[in-house]
Amino acid sequence: MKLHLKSDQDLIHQYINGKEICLEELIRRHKSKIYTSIYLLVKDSYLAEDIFQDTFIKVINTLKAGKYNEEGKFLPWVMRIGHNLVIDHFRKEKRTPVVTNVDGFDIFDVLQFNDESMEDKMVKQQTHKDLKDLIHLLPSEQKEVLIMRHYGELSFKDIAEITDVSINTALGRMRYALNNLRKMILTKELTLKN
Amino acid sequence: MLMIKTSTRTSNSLLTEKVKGIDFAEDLNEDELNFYNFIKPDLNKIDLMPNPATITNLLNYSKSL
Repeated sequence: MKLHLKSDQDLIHQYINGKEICLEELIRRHKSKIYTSIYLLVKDSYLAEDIFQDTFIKVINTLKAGKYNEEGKFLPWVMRIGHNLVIDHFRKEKRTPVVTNVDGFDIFDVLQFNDESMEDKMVKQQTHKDLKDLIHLLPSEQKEVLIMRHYGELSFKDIAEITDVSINTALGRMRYALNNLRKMILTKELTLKN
Repeated sequence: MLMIKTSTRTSNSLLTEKVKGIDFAEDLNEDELNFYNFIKPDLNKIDLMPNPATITNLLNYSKSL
């Protein structure tokens, strides 16, 4: 069977048994989601590159040591490692990646819609770039839930465990993230019309 | 430009993973799910890639063990 048709579990088994090319396929398959998630959290391509590399070094070491827990899916497991490394980084830096706030924070508290450069920038950017910028404006707690849910395909139960909150809190943060994104998009459209 | 529109919900993926024995006090409502489904294609377009040299380094590291 061709590598791209194999499941993650099959690739992991074969990699552990010495077939190095299976690691290449695993990385090829998931690198975008993992790197994108890390980048959206740290907003620095060099730092994201370092954390991405450290994440897979941990993955490789764990797999080679035969310590991989097969109960979990591969992508959520790697995302968890990457997220923990992001948190470690910001703890060392003693700062948070974006605006720190409590749940229920209103995005309008930090947005400055009269900023012409911001408006001009938004007009010129493509749709997905716009959305990326808006995601960066989300409070960190909301952003990480959105990213882990969408790119990491993590369940709210997994997200709750990783972020050390209740499932309801994780779900609530997703709601706030979506509602804040919608507010920002609506406001942007109103700005452009005026 | 991003635009808001309403549409018929086709999936409820965010709510399909309820954990047994746990009753969510908060659920995403239909409006929120519609919006999430609406922005999903744009979220998927944020498709960033690591440097190929990083991948090469990782593969070489693995082979060195």
